[in-house]
Amino acid sequence: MGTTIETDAQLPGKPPALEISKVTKGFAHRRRGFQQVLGEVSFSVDEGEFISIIGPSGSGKSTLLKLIAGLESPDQGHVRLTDEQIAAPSRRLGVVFQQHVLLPWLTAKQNVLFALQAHGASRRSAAERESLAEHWLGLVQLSEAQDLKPGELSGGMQQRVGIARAFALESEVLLLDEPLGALDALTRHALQLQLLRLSEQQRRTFVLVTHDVDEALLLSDRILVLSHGPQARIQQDLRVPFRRPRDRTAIESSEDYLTLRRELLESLTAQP
Amino acid sequence: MLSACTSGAPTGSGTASAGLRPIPAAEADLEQREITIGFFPITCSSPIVNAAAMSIFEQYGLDVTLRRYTGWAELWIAFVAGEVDATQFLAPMPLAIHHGFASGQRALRLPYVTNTNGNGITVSQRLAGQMSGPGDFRGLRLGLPFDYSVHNLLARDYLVSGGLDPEEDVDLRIMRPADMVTALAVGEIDAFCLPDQFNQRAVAEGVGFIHVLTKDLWADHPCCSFAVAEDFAAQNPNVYMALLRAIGESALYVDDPEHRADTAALMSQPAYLGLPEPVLNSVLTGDFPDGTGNEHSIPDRIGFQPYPHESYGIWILNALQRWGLTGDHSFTTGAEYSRAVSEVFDSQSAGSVLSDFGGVTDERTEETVLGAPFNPQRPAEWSERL
Amino acid sequence: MTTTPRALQHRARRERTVFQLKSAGGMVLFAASFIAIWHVATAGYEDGGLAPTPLASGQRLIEVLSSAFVHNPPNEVGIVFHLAASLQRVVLGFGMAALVAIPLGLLLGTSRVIHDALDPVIQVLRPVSPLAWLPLGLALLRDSQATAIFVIFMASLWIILVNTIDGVRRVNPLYLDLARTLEATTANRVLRVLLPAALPGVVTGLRTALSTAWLVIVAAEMIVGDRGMGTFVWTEWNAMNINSMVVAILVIGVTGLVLDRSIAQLHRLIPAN
Repeated sequence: MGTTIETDAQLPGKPPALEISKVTKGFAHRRRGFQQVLGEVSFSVDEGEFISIIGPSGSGKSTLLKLIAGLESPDQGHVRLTDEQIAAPSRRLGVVFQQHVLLPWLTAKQNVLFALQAHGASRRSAAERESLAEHWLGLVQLSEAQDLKPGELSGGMQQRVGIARAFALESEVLLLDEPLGALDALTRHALQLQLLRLSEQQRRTFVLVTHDVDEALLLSDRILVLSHGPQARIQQDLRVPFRRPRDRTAIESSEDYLTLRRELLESLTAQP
Repeated sequence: MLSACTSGAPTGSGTASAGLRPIPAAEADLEQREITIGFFPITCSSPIVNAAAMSIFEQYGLDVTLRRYTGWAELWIAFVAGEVDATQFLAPMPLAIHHGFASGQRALRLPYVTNTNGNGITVSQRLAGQMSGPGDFRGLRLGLPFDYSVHNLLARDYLVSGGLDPEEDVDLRIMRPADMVTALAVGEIDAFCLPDQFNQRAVAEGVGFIHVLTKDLWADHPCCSFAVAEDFAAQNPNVYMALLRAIGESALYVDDPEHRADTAALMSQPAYLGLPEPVLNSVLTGDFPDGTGNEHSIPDRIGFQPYPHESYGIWILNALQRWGLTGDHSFTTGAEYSRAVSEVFDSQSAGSVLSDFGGVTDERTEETVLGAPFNPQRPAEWSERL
Repeated sequence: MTTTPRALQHRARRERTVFQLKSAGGMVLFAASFIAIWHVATAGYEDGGLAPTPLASGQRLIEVLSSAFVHNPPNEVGIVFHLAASLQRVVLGFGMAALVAIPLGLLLGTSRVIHDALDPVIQVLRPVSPLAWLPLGLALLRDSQATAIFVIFMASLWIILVNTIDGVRRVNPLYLDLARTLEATTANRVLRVLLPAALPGVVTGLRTALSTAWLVIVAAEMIVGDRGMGTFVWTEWNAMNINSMVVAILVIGVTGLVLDRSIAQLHRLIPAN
């Protein structure tokens, strides 16, 4: 394993929305010395495509996402967003963090508004921004809670604010770093459906990092499996063939689903 | 610690009065040998400090520890609380402490004034050439050492003599004497009325000039005093008398013009006053520059005749009352004044010791303060005349 | 989810009232026993009022308060003017210290390089007793008013600075990641994210600094200053009005409490949108 698998659905002439090529990343530890977290990782994502990156814990999934987001820079290789090389965080890449990362002194709506005006030069008027924030909070069913502060919201509501904030930015690419990982099973289940609906309504490019095989299968067009670290690589690139709009019950009872699921689980538990 | 013998100091201190010197009390007669005496490091304390420096206390069988204080209020509290039973005080303080004019009362005896004169009003160099009399203090800030001080009382009457109301026209500021030369230098105060060495120190530092010596406001006025707690003196009569002999002998030694320069050298040592010798020398010998370019020779700039004249006490008591510093006490007739003063002033003990040594013991019947005669029999008349 | 039933609110309010009554009762009890112990402790002295009794101090308190607004300068000034003078010095010195220390703390908290360069200086100057700056200030500034403010400035500066740096260090790094992904402007990043997030540390610094400043001003005014609580203490002491010390302690203490409570309210001032 460990060889890069090129995607097979690239149209000639049209550049991929996101291209990660030959990226490596390591960290210096005081005691253990230099740890190469990511080996050479390459893949690309087409415009409008929803891909998931799954891997065993400690495989460097979140590091990979941070590299894409520009929050970390790769030791080698590069990340390209259509025509532009990513060297620093950009509003073209929206991030939904693992923890909700809402500013606790602002209400839900103020958190979304802050994201809309933080870079200073907004082409929208204050009123437009306000209705945009309300619109997105409405789409995640938080209209009634928009004036509450994060401390007054449940974990699931907090994460929905985070999602609304990322969508409201209208970034070309949305990076989701285990957004539902910290939630209880019931809430996670409901939010997965909400995310599915949003991603099918919105024509965006999505990169989701998760450790949940069912979540990846439900949401993605493609699933990349990272090998066990250190020097993690992409060991598998699976196409998820289910038709959209998807219906959870229908998918989960299909033969393909069970086959893909088994394949992914085997791949995840395989010894490096 | 200060009772240690100092080499180089003249022993047999009674050069002038050797023949009259009484035989020191036998150690066996003393109720106790060890005693702590409070003092304030200024030239006024010379008789007390010199008695330690020249081992005079030892010759009378006493083992004296001198304890240094730099704030008069601290010293007041220390005495009332019993930390010291014998101490130097500003002359008005024993009257106030004994009669309970303010917080902190303790019965006491005042056998001696430690010095006469030895004070002055010093003005900042910035005002050089602008001060001709008390009226020129209008609007200035004048530093004073303590409410219960002759400095406070005399300075106020001096300002009154220039047509000023000290409460309204002058900013009177009580400060720690040790801080006042610096305060004068940086312009925080414009002038101060203090005991020496501070006046001469301000001249030496180039920050002020001596505007007037208080001896010119009231010749031979009292400044500091020596007081002993009544309970201590009653329980230790022999110690009390031994203290009086030692300090009396020391005071008369220091008072002798022949000994002033030697005393200045001795007192300047860090163990005693720890002040610059030229400054002490100027104060004690009376040969000094005044900060305006003039040199003076005034041998009685400071005196050390310790007899506690009743007239001193009566003027002080009258002034305290006029400036509202006697609490709920009030004195009207000469007899009331005289009773209040004689309760405190132990002129009898002082007289018997000092006459043995050949010191002054004649009661003064009249004072001249700010140019007006002060009759201790009729104290109220003086302020009316002013 | 947010509509608490009215009954619940009522119960919560009632419980709060009972709790407040209990603490108030405890406070009265404590104050009463304190005064009783004070009375017993000072009743035994026959020292002409050197040790202040509760009764004498109470009488003095009434005297001082009834002449609180007397304004007959230079030598007769009510306690209100002393208090105002002290507060003015503290507000000036403390305010200037905050204006310098908070921005500097935000800078040092975020920049490792500048922090490591300046840290030795801070660590050397920080433990210096504020009053040690007094002679230096007097020598340099040649003005007692400016010196008193300078001493307060020095007393407050290091405390606010060190706590601000600490507050910045404790900020959740994800907040800063968020600001980066939003391409927040420097002003927005510092004022809308870093400062509010570091505010607990900043407020702790301000509170500690203000109580220290208030502590120091009284001491400083005993040496310099023509008006102020320290001057009041010093003058009353030199007039041997020991009962006034109790009044001064009460006024100084209550003012300190009010100052501390008001600065603690800064938590509420975090900027919203």
